[in-house]
Amino acid sequence: MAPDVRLSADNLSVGYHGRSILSRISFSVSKGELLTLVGPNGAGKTTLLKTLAALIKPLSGTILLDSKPLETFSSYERAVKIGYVAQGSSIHWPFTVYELVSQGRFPSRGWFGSESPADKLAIEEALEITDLYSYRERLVTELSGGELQRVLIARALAQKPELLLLDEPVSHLDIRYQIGVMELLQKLVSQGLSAIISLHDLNLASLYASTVSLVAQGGIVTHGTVKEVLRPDILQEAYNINLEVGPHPESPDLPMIYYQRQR
Amino acid sequence: MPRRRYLSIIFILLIILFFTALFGVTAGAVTISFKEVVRVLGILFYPDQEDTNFTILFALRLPRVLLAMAVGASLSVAGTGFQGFFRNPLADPYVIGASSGAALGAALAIVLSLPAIGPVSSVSLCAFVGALVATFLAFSLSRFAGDPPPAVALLLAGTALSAFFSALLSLILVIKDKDMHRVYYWLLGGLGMSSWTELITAVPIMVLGAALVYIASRPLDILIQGDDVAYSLGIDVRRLRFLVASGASLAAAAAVASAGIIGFVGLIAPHAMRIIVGPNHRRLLPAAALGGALLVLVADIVARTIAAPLELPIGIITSIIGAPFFIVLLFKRGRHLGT
Repeated sequence: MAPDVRLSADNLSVGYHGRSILSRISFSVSKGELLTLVGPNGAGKTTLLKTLAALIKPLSGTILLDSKPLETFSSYERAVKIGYVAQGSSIHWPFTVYELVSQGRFPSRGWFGSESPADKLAIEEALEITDLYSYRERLVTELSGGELQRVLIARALAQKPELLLLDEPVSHLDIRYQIGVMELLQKLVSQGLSAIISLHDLNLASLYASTVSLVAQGGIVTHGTVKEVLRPDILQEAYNINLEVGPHPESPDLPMIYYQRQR
Repeated sequence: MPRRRYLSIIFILLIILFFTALFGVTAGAVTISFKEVVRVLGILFYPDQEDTNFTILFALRLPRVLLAMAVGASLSVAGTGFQGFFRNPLADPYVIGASSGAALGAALAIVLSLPAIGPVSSVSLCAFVGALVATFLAFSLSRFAGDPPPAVALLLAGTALSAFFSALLSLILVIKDKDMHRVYYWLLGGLGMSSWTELITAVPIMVLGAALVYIASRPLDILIQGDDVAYSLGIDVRRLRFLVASGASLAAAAAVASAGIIGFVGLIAPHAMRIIVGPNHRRLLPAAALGGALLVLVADIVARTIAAPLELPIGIITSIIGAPFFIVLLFKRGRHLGT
């Protein structure tokens, strides 16, 4: 196994209450890699992400984090390594941005620890990189969807994780904020972070992903670079619609998806 | 909110509470002037048990005022804890059925004449167990409707449990009618029977309960945003829930044991304080305790002066304020409750 592998899944089967949703899942994510999960609604992307975040147990198979089985980590050890942001998170409690982001230090501070210089630094770096420094005293209940998403990512970053798991981080955002979040992720992975995110927008995946996994029909149908996965035959089969794939006008290497009317 | 502003809010609350307490000592069926209070304070150092005003102040009013504050603070801390536990700002010991659970537990202990366990009276212990059972029942029942439990499910579960416990309580009273008087005396006791003994037995339990909720402050800030958020930040959600439910149930049970069932305090005080100091539990809990103390103190002063010498049950006053407040809260925030 390559030394820079952060997380690997081997013959993983995931689901709820013993019922498998996805099976025979094997892939790995390296340092500085942005893996995007694409695929139809209900295919199991959320379940897979939750399993990788150890929120639910895999039905079978193994997940290795830094070459160690995920279940051998204590909950705090794991929370220091993995940051997770759920889909469509909304917060109705009027915390300030600073308070919410500082909660990302919980795994290091515990129930009683006071804010150490390391905590403060981590919080400020997280605010800085997400462009939220001037928002510190704002209430999270008064933010737009895009701003809140950045706050939640900032909280995950304050954990100082090696791996970020984001479930549809750009759904409900307008195009500008979608691009904003993706640019942020690209910046983070270029600094060595690994990220696994689920996306519906295939073109965003094409623009920003290092690798893509197409999740459909109870497993990972294809895993590879954007060019290997975002192919018309594969996508038509998975989504059951007609579409075309052409080169991006400025970066011909990147496939762009053109939808078609179906009749 | 800057730390200094928070501390000044706490300071202002303490001052208001102090002067209200002072007023509470002077007001009542027999009005004792402030000057007289000062004179009696002097007697404190040369005890003269024959002095009527000394007796009224020290044996009756002072413990009553202190107990009112303790009960209010406990109910408010319990409410704050339950709101975090249920992730719902409508949760309150009364609303979710913890108060009636405590009452049922206490009644059982009385009619079965259960023996005390060490220094803990069986009545207090059974009240605590009753509150805890009610809390977990309300939680499990409302959880069927979704995660987090929607407000409606929580209210329905709480109402159903309250009705069920009250029915069991009535049943017990009908069957064991020779104990009826004692149980009623205990349940409707209000603050009229306040004494130093009552205060000394109740306050340590209340402090313990409040402390359990308080030490969970930081993880509670995270738990209110959802179980997944809590798990992903490394929190042992089960242990946290159990700790918070135990603390809140202890505080609620001790309050019920001292003053009977008083509704809505755990709803009004935390909500008002959340608006002022924010949802951060480290700050919210002390402020909510002071707010609850003030609320019950004022309600008790009103209850014993408005129709003096007749004394109204204090629950009437808090419910008259609380029920409309509850309805407004439900209308205004109903759509967002439960997340």
